[in-house]
Amino acid sequence: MIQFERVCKTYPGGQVALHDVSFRLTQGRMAFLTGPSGSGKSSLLRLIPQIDRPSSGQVLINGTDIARVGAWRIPRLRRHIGVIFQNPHLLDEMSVFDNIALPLRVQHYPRDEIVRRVRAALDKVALFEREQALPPELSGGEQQRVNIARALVARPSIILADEPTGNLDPELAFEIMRLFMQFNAAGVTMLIATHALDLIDAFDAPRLLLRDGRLSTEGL
Amino acid sequence: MGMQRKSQNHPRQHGLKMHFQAWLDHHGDSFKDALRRLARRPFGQLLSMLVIGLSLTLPMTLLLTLHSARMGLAGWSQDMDVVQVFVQEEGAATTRLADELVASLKNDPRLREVRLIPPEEGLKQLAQLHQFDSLLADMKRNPLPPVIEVYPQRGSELEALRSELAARPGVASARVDAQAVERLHGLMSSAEQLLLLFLLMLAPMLAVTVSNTIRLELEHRIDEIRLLQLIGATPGFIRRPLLYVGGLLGVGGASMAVALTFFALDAVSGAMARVGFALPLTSAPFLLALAVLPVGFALGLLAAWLASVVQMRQIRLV
Repeated sequence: MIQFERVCKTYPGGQVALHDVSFRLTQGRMAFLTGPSGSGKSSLLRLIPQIDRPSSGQVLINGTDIARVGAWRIPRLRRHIGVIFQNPHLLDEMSVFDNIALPLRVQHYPRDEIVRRVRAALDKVALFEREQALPPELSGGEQQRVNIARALVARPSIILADEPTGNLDPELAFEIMRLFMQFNAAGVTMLIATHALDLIDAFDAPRLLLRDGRLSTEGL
Repeated sequence: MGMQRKSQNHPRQHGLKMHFQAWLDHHGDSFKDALRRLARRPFGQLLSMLVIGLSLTLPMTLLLTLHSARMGLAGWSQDMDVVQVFVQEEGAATTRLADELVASLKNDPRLREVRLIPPEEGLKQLAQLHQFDSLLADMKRNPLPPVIEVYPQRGSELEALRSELAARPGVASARVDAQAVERLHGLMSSAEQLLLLFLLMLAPMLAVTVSNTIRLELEHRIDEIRLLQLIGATPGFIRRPLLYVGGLLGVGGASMAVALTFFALDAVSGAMARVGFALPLTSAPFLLALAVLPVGFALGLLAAWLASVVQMRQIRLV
């Protein structure tokens, strides 16, 4: 569950990114976070895995106020959250397999379990044949699918996606959204930031609309 | 499903043994990763190792040369150990007394050699040594007593022997003349300690070289580190390959120092042999090598840890 309670975020230069934002996304639900560029979507997402801290208010993950989480527990908190950025952030010197296996290695999964899970994730994103390829050898769409597989492989309870289809053609974007719906159907809480309204219209999910850092909700 | 949700086949569900095995696997992977990182820039890394190696070679070579020379000097001084026994002046009976003393000492198994220096020979030696020819020629009688030079077996306790000989009847006095050798021995020992201190002072050189490499490695890997932080890697997990890089650099530099030192020692010992002073073969170089390699590894590890802790604090997720 993701819960924001009167959250404000002001950057050191004085720029207000979020103003008095409150919402609650219960476990296993999916919502689109939408709004024009610069409306504060990325700022909101960055507060959830503690990339940034709110200036005021509370961010609760599964009932825990993450501002009260000690620095040593932050890595463990982040293991429950899969993050997908518009830019895939793949490591070019590692194979597709090793890129996807990273979250499992971080959590000290046994080797055989890593192989099993990575292959399953590769199968889900239809990249089974490319496991030994290096990221620069992949197309933009394939790279984004690797990014998604990496975010899902450790089966996090929450997935955050920031413009995950921004670089993709409409057909592939639609495929990836369908993939997200499948994961959500399996019980994963999903918050997807996008300004692709045609894509949002195609899927039945609540919307969080941000405008100048202020939030309005539809369907939550 | 929640933050406390236990995913199927989470490592904790595999038990402590499997978790430990996975942790060991990560150490293996980190070690291989460190080797790959070093191999990626072999010239730069070799240069770093050479800097460490060269900085340690000079003090190590001097230290070992001094140590060997001191050992050689100890053996040489044992050959030179001598107790000079001055026979009591008994007028005409002095020579007989000296002969009797020599005869009794020659049967002593603790002694290697016993040599009588009659007063005439003593005077001759004195004349040669100090060029007192004219002065001695004017003397009406030889003032020197017969002297017996007693050479003990190697390893004998000189002072005890001297006391015993001095107490014998017919002996005026007995003395050990090894002060110069002892002084040299002491000087060399002090120099060895100074060099050891110098060697310890050079340890930060190794640390600085390793820290610099780790800093560059972190700068090169900043995207990877940010990603690892985002997916929940602990600082220890992120640091592990870097610690191996530091340890390998340290042990590589120490190995170079050991190799260069052995090479230099060989050259020094060859040069010494040509001037007639053979450095004895001791176990010190091998013991030092055995000590320097783990110390190099540990110092490299420590330097890498410090550098990575400081640098990683400055890395922020973007």
